[in-house]
Amino acid sequence: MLLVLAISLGTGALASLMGLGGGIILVPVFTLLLGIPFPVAAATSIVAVVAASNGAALKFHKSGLTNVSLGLWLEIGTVVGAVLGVLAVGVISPSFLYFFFGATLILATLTMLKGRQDLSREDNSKTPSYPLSAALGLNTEDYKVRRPVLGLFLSVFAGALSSMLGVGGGIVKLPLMNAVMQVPLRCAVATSSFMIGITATTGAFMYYLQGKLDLALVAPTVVGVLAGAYFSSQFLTKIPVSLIKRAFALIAFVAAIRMIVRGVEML
Amino acid sequence: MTVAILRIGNSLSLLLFILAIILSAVGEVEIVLGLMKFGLFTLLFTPVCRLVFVGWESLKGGEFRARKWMALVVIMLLVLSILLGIRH
Repeated sequence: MLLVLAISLGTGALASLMGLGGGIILVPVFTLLLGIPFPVAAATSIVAVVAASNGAALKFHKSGLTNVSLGLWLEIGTVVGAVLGVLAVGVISPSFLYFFFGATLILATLTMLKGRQDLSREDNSKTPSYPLSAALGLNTEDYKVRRPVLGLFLSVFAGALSSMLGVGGGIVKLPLMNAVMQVPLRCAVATSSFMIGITATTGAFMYYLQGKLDLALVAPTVVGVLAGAYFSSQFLTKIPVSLIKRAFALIAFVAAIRMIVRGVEML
Repeated sequence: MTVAILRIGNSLSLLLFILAIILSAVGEVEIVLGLMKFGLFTLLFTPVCRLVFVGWESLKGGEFRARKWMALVVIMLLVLSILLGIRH
């Protein structure tokens, strides 16, 4: 329990410094270092994601950037996806999960190193609105939300990815809102943070009811992740983030390769 | 209110988990398990409570008519997923 607490503390601190949910670090650490089976690691990680997202939601709530209506609209898709994801974990081969996580980890690392680019148009408030977006109240004074139906369908995939791999799913939600639905990046980040808690809660409930949630692992993980996030926000602010990102990228790349190799070994 | 829900939910679950970890050293297995379950449910119900509050707030304010329906659909889907989990 103390080892898990120490690992989660480090994970929480690192994730908080880089603006990550923590799942992308926790799952490889649990599976590769502690030898915990993938479904149990993903289930534990998704609970930690709920805790981290509650903290992040506090921060974003004050900023006023969250588009609550858009979050609720996409949440319809992600909740369905989260259920499908947990059900899929029980059916699909564990080797596929290792492959899939390895690929997601590489993609997340590359995105983090490259830095997020705002792909929304500077000002689309003057262009005609999608009737459904207007009817659902998704538009704001600053921007209009495009392709709401496509966004809903793609968010099913984001929800499935989140619960299946035990991650927040921001890697899908952000490009979806920013590039597909033309939501400005800062608003997309805040709205994604609002959504992650609900999506992850659905996945966590499903895992708990399926008996895949190990409470003896969950307690130290949640305490460690929250304490680590608090610790880093208070004491580690002077460490250059670019340096941490590069170091993390190297470790994450090695972890991703090891996850893929583990997947091959399990075939 | 949203801030209060998030703060209380996270702090309470953290407290319960810490208590469970401390008591696990003493060996009170049933109490530890109870505290862990309570902590888990407190944590998981925090975003649900926030969602219910968002829906309730929209219900009161007339300008967010669609929002309350979307909140209701998400809550219903959440309940359905729990029921599906129980059946499995």
